[in-house]
Amino acid sequence: MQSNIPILKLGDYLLVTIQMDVHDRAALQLQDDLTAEISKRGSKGVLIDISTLEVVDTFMGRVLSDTAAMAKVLDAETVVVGMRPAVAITLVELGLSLPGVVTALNLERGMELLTQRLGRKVNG
Amino acid sequence: MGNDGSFRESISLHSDRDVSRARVLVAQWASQQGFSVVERTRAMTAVSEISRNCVIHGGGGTMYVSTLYNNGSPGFRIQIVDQGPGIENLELSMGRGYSTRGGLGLGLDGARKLCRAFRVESNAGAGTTVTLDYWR
Amino acid sequence: MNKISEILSEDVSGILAEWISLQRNDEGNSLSISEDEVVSQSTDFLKLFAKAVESGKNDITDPAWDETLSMLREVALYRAQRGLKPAESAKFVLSLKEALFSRLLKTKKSESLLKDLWSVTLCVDNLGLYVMSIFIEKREDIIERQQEELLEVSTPVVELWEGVLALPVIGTLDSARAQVVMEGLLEAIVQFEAKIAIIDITGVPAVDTQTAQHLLKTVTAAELMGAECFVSGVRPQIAQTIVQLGLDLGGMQTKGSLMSAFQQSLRQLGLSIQKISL
Repeated sequence: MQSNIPILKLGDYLLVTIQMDVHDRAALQLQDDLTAEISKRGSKGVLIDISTLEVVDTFMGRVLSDTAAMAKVLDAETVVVGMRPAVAITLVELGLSLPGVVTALNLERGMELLTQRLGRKVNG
Repeated sequence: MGNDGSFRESISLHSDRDVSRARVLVAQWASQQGFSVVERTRAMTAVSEISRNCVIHGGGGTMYVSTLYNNGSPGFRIQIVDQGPGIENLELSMGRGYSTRGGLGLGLDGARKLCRAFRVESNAGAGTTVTLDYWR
Repeated sequence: MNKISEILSEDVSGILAEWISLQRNDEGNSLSISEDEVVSQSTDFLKLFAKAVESGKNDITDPAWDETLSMLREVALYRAQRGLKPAESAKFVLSLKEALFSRLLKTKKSESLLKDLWSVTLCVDNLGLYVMSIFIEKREDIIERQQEELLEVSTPVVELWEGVLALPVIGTLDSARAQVVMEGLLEAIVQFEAKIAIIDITGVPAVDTQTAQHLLKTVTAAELMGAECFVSGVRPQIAQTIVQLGLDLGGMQTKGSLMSAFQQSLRQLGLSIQKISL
């Protein structure tokens, strides 16, 4: 399986770091690779780090929303971490609010959030 | 460098890698002219939308970036030109949520919100030119 | 204008002395510039004025007046910067009229007196208007700069608790201001690694559709970065207008006071405040 965006295993979770100048096909490839990886490992949580990403446009917004939705169908929670202030402002001005996407300030917070959400799920 | 001290660069748009290059070129212009990070991000995002439209719907084209002055404020003009089928219903495609293929259908209208001045010239069968102006 | 040129060449120093005393006469000396400056400005100006009059051109837009106007511009800018009243700056030129009139009246050949008076009036009045326009321009510059400075200083973000930020907004939240507030808050969220941000609008006089939209944008952007947001300080009148205008606040969490927003924040962080026995 050839992937442009590497997927790392981080404890029970999967970690994806999207590079600065990702092009569209690589972003779409991520959906294939990530869903395959979740299914293979039975992962319950996914962290997508976008801290180096300078642009989230409608295309990338849709990739993030779709990826989170696909993971959900495979019973995994997704947290998008590290969105830059300028990116957040631009998204709001574009009228995009990334429906269904859970966000956290940084990787550490993202992991805390995943643990919290998954813990809640296990304990009912 | 033109006679009036203006400067112009262009980049051809034919693939998704070109869309990435277009974003990088605009980022360089914005940084060189001392734009804020937020303004630079706006410009990069708008260019990302329009140049992708150009590649997917316009059959590819060219992006031009040139210097611009608005009431003494420095800035730049981005023009994205294609010879594609043109936009049949401009008003409809500027509306929120309209999309012909993929995306969230906010591309053209979204880009308009992310620049100081915006212009689309398009005729069915005669290509499309989108102009985005930025100044400080 | 020939007559004026004549009387100027006859007794420049006399006219200068009278003009300076006229500038000084009215309403005491409220000028925040020194006597020396008045004298030197007046001397320089009269020299250039005499030269321009000598050219025989009445119209101050004629190139013959260029030097006089640029000197006048400097005087006006200087006075505006020193915070002089508009009238005080205008009087610099207008009082010259009286000094010239009194000389004109003293001259013996008075057959064309009315005509001479009229041309002096026109010329000096135009110079007066010129001073005013420069003065106002400078003042507007100053006001604009102050507005910008105000914009920067008026949006402090404070850390109330580890991970809890408060941003008190004071004054009307227009587009320019909203932009600064939003950027400042988001940068602070990164800097302080904040979990919760409270936007306090106690100091906002009124909330209209635009203000509500700005608030909503800021809250949405903060949430995209992973912070939770409260809007506090919503007064009863503001609650009423929000409902009456039918404003959509989306999922915005509003609180009556900064205190209740802070209490809620602590609860969310799993903290509580306890009374200790002394």
